[in-house]
Amino acid sequence: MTPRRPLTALAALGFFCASCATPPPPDIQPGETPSEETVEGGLWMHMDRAEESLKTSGRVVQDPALNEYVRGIVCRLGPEYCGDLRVYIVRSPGFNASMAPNGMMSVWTGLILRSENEAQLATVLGHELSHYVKRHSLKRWQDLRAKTDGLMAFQLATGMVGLGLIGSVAGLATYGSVMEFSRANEREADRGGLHFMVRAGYDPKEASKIWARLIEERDASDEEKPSLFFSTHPQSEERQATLAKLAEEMGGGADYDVGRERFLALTSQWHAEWLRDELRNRQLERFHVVLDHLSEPGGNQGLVLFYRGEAHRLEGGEDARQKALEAYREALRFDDAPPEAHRALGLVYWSMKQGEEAHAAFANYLEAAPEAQDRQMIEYYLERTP
Amino acid sequence: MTRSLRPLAMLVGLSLLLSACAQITLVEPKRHKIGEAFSVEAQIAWSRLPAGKSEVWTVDGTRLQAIRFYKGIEDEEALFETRGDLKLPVFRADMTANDIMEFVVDSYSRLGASQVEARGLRPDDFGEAPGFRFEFGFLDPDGLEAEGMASGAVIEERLYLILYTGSRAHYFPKHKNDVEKLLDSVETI
Repeated sequence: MTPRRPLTALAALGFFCASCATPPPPDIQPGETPSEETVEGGLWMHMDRAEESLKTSGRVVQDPALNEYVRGIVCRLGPEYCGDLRVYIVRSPGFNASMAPNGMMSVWTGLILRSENEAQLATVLGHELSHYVKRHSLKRWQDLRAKTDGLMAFQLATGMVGLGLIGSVAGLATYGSVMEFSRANEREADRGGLHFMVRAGYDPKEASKIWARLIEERDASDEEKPSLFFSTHPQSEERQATLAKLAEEMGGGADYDVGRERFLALTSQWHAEWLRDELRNRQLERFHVVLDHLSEPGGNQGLVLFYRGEAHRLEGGEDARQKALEAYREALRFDDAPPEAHRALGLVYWSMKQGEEAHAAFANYLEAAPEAQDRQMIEYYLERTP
Repeated sequence: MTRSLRPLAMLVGLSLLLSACAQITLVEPKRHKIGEAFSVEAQIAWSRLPAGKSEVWTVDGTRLQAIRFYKGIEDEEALFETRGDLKLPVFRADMTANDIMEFVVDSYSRLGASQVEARGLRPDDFGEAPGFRFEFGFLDPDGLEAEGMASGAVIEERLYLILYTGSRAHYFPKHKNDVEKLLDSVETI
């Protein structure tokens, strides 16, 4: 990428402000880089700076295999744009992905956790790719420009309100929230994403399923804004129905690829880490929906049951405590239950003053995890139980 | 721009104590009473910031390093005061040391810290009271590496807690030894 001069870009911004009635820009072409003397060049320059900050933030997942896999999906969707895009997997709970005008795509681990197969993940990646190809950030700027002054519009379109923090997940979230595209742009991105999916051989019927998933989480939660992605992508029921109809028209069928086995082979090893991130987010109703979709036979059943127990434990109350106990006991029937399931069982028994059961569970924990970080504390509990 | 309030609320949360620095006072290197329940011996001079039910001491600024003293968190109270609709975990009087460690870790996570990893949970006296101690590491909302350590106890159903946090690169280690001596100096009243 060629360096751009800020003053030139800002001068272009001022020039641009003088003429607000602008026709919609054409699709960006593969390899195209906007001139530094244009508003779009200014948008890119600012996002380049944001990208540098994101790169060094420590939140970007570095695992080569996972990065190669997700980038591979993006390149399969849009091979002609592969060289123009950088994909960053951001470790963060929640369903979210975003696309910056300069080709910086961020994909949250919470989105990968919620996708049931490669085609569903490709749905969101294709949608974001469409935003890039259709230059929706520039259109957003033009829309904003018509409503507000130039500098403010520029700040909003680049997410500059959070630019200093853009390397943080919170900053990215702020960027995402100001980058709420118009309903027409969202529809266009949906349709474009579906086109990319079909062209790449992904089953387009999976597209509406990932939106259905988002709706299910929203409905399970009593929070006003259950998902950041939801707040920036409204009208999901309508979109889900439209996508299902479009998928029928495009002839989604048995020949298309869903890629479930390949997807799980690359991602299920991360479930323990990502589920812990989700639990810590303490949005327990949504978390139960996540677990529901990971509960299928053959999956990480011990792990999922352990986290089911954790969610119940955090809900508090006697009923929830009993449900937690049941889930932990059930989890421990599976080989993939983490050692912490023993500890969790012990702590619940401890709180119920069932010393004998607590003692046995704590002893099992230390046997399963002799190097446990809290070994001294567990030994303290052991000394105080029969 | 209401949609951007939530992430901003997170940042406001972690830096809340920074913004609450209306009255900064000098903490001299001597014994100080913290609330009504305990006292500590300061090894060096700190700046003190009142922050609601807690108080904060720092040398270089609260975003760089800070000791937070909690003078008795009650049942159903959160670790941090926040603005907006951000829900934080709450303390419960029947929590074990493991539960309290999780309460601290999850509170930081909810405020925008990430990859919070606690370690070394162990029993440790908090003055005369049986308590606990642990260490933790995390990425702050800007993605910078930070370290923390915690010491506390539940006394008469209230959580008394001292948290020391700071950037891993320089500011946490700068006063780590001073804070360890301070934690060892706790005397319950």
